Amino acid sequence: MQKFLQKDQLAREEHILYIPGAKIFEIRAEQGLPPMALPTTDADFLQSRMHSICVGEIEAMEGAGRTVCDFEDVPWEFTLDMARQVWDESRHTEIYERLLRHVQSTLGEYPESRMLWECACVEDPAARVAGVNRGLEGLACDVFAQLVQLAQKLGDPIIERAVDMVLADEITHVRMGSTWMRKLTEDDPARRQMALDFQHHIDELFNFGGARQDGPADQVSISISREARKMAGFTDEEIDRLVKAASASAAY
Amino acid sequence: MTAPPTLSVEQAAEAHAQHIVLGDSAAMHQDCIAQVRQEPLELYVQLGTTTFARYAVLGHARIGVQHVFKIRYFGVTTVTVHHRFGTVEGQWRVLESERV
Repeated sequence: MQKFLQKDQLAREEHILYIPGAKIFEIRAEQGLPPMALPTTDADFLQSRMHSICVGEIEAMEGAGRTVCDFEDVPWEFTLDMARQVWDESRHTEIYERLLRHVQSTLGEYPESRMLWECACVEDPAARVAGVNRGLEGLACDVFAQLVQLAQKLGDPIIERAVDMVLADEITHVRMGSTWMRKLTEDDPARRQMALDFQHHIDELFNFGGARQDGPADQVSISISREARKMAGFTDEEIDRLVKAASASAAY
Repeated sequence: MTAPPTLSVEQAAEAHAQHIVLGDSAAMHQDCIAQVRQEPLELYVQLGTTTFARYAVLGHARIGVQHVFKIRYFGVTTVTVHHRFGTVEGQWRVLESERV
């Protein structure tokens, strides 16, 4: 089986439109819209957000699956954890596909950027779990906690409970990522630093030029969730670093 | 206040695809803003000179208030294009076309 697939090799149904993230941001900017949909600027915020999460879950499932396939020289338990994650992500995909229908949307109503998949292509397993499990699943903690709060405001228990259940899995994925990043880089501080640097690069990329902020759920594109991140095992220092980096992005 | 477009965006996309299949370059160009006709010149030259038997709308996605249609044109050569539509002076117009 071919290892290390690229973004144009992902199998998709014909009705899914792939448009690179930078291009989507450019088109939104032309319309005077922020890079990411905001509850205050986008009438279809909920549909758009559900869609990007659903597509993200598909790519996360594919990413974890590729990690099982791409790396042979790793502990068996690592492969087993990644296989377990494939199972989790496939369940999340089904949940979000149903949530999309719940908000009167459907898969394909918005383009797919494949930004998440690109991050899952790094060739070192330690960097991959640092970037995907700590960087991207950390982002999922922020996004899902925000969605739970918005659902509470909207009085929508279906979204609130479904997303809360998925959030519980994401927290375990972050923890799994932290464990494996440390184990795979034991006795190799340079490799660990490279993995952490990759995670910081992912964090920066997914700050979306300041879209992620330490702010109220209904006023910012992505609200940093200290509570969910702490449950996932991020330290106060790590969360503060992310908040600082996010506000620096906003200044660009 | 600008009146809503007379055609839905889906109808506008179908009409543009039909103009391409029919080889009606005047109508094809009228569907687009000037920039589209000039920038991807090679694409519209190809679309205007190739004989297509039919087209199929494969997908339709939204970005803000604009719409992107993925349309495949079948002929001696098969071409798949993303046409991006937005409203200009109250009508849906092609703002960008890109071969994919």
